[in-house]
Amino acid sequence: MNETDLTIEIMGKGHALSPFSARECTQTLTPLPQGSLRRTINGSLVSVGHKGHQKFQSTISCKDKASPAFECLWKGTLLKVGCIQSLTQTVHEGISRVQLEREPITLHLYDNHGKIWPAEKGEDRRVSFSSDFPGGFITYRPLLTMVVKNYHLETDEWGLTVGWSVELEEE
Amino acid sequence: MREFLIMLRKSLSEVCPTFLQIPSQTPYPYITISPGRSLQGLPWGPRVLLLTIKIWSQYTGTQEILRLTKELENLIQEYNFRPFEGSLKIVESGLILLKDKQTRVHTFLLKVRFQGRPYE
Repeated sequence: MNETDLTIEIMGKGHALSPFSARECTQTLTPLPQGSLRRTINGSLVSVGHKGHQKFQSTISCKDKASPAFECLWKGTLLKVGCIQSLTQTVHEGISRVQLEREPITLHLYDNHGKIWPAEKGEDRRVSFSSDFPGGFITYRPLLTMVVKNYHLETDEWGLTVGWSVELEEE
Repeated sequence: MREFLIMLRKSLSEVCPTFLQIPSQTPYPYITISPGRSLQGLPWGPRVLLLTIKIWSQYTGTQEILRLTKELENLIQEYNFRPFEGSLKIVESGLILLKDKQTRVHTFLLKVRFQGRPYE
């Protein structure tokens, strides 16, 4: 059964998405608020945030028929999340290698006309492709290590639906 | 998608004769499959198809159609997608008696999701 591209692995416990629990999921991916914006002496607005603290927060929710295996999930539990929300990077003409910000599970390289080009995933989030690539974009689904902030389960007994949502923050 | 519909027709034929196009003078009961809206958001992304499956019966009373409905429901819920990658979900299910007061139709509305291609 392949009900969703989403994967949630509870570290040390296994996969959390049981059959009939994750069809028609939605996911948000939002940069975590960090640092602040300040004016320089010249009046330009700059961020004084730390690059190493650029992390995502995410909420995943779904309404299906069964509960996911969240029994051992508590605030602070570590998860490996194969996101359904993708990230996209601009790829300039004349280069044949880029480094992605996050580990990709799936990736697609395409030019400005939407034509798909072959790309190869290498070590350290590097992706290589033909130097003939005329410029375009790489879209990929990131694999993120995330920490549980909270979760919620709800059952509509006569409506025969089970809803759930989980709030996460990147480790 | 056509291959999937043909495979589905074959599987549902275990319950009773199933058609994508009903031949004239087909004896009851039978099942029809009608593909509806089909959408693929991206060239490499998943495709979602709306599918209507109907069971048609002229048996006096509801015994036959309720039995066929249960069998079909079980088959759909445990449906083995192979060699395709995907899954399906029953969105709506309901029984009606047509105006001829003879023909009962049970309709399943299904959402079928075919997995996209992971890499290019």
